Amino acid sequence: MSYHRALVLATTLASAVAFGIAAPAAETYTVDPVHSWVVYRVKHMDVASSFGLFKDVSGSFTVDEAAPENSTFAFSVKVDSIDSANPKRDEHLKSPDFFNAKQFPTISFKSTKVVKSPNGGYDVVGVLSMHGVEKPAAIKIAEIPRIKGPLGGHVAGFDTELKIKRSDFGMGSSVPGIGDEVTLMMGIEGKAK
Amino acid sequence: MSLVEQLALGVFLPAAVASLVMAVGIWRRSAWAGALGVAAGYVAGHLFVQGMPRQPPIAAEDWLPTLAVLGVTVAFIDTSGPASKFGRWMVGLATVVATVLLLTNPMIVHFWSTGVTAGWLTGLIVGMSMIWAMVDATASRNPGPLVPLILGLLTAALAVVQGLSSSILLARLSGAAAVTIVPLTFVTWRWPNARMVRGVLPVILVLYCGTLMAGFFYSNVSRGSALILALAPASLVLTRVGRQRRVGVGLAVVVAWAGAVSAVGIAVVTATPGEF
Repeated sequence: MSYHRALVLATTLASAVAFGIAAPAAETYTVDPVHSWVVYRVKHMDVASSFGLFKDVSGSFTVDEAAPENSTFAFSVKVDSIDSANPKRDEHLKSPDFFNAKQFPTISFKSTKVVKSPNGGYDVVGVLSMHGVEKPAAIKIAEIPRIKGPLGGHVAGFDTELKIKRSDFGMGSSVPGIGDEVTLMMGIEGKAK
Repeated sequence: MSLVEQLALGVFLPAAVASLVMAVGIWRRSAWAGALGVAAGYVAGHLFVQGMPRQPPIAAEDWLPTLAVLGVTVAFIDTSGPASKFGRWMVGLATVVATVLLLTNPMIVHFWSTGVTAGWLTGLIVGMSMIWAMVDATASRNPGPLVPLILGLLTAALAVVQGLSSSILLARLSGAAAVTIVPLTFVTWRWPNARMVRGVLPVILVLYCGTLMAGFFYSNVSRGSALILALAPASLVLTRVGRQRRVGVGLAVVVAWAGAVSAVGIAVVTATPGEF
């Protein structure tokens, strides 16, 4: 190895250590609606769970591993895209009895604070807006894998879930026949811009 | 509380409150007792069904209690001192405009273009004002139970249509409005009073048209049912038909009944009942 090559290698290694090669710079991802899922689970008659999903998911997230506090998460679903595998039930869910989809067409989550979790991953605190009501909500993201996309750029994503009481959002109809506690299970995938 | 108990109390509570207020009003010989009774009964029913709405309300239908109370002011104008026709109609028109604007606001914000908004608002305000004027003219000639009976029948039909069209909530609100008209029908049968009947009209029409708009725009009340229920109060115009008044009155009742049955029939055919 020539002296010149050794100098370049040493400089590169020193820079990598100084700037953290394991922590890529903050990168913003646009939610990929084709590979993102927001599924709900709610108890029916307190005997078994009922599931459904919101097919129209959008949003973006920024991940800054070096400075997690600069990370942001914002995503939303269109209530009208709800699919419970039963069209009549979907109509009922969209009515004023439940989501009131025409009056409150979106459900959104926007982070307000992101911190690195002591166990790894991220603790995200934000605001959940649903049915015209805004409430603080917190989610845990265990990890955000990031890979090179097949068509270039990066792809990243995460799984998380959020438990809410629908009555807190003015959607207390038919409680307790249909459970008050709803679990939102999310698998969000994004592509770097 | 079971669903049956909730439904029973949702009917009993507004009827009881309306009856109590009307009884006190009759005892005090107040012609506005009908309007206040219907409004108070509805507010009690709405609060029972929906709980205390946030102020200002976030859902369009949660404006209905406020609008019902606003409708009572027309009855107060009618009964306090020399009636000012202009003032009465202006307050009534303001109530109509407020009802249409507040009930359609989410459609204006989320869905309608400027042109569509202008078309809907004009149509709804003119339509609701015409219905009010028509029913008011009939009420001034029929101080008895005819007008409350027909409006009560149509409001009950609307409740059934709402229930068949994916919204138990709106059905219960319409049902609360319908049962408050029962004691009014009894009071106007026992003590006919044109001022009482005319005074209560803005309250009933705000609740009737308001829940109908909510059902059509935010639930699944079909165009057919909505159109029939919107036009059905005009059946009261038929009271002027026939040489003898009784012929017209009978015809109005039959046509209103036919309208109510048709609207419910269409709702049954196009029903999308809740199936959770």
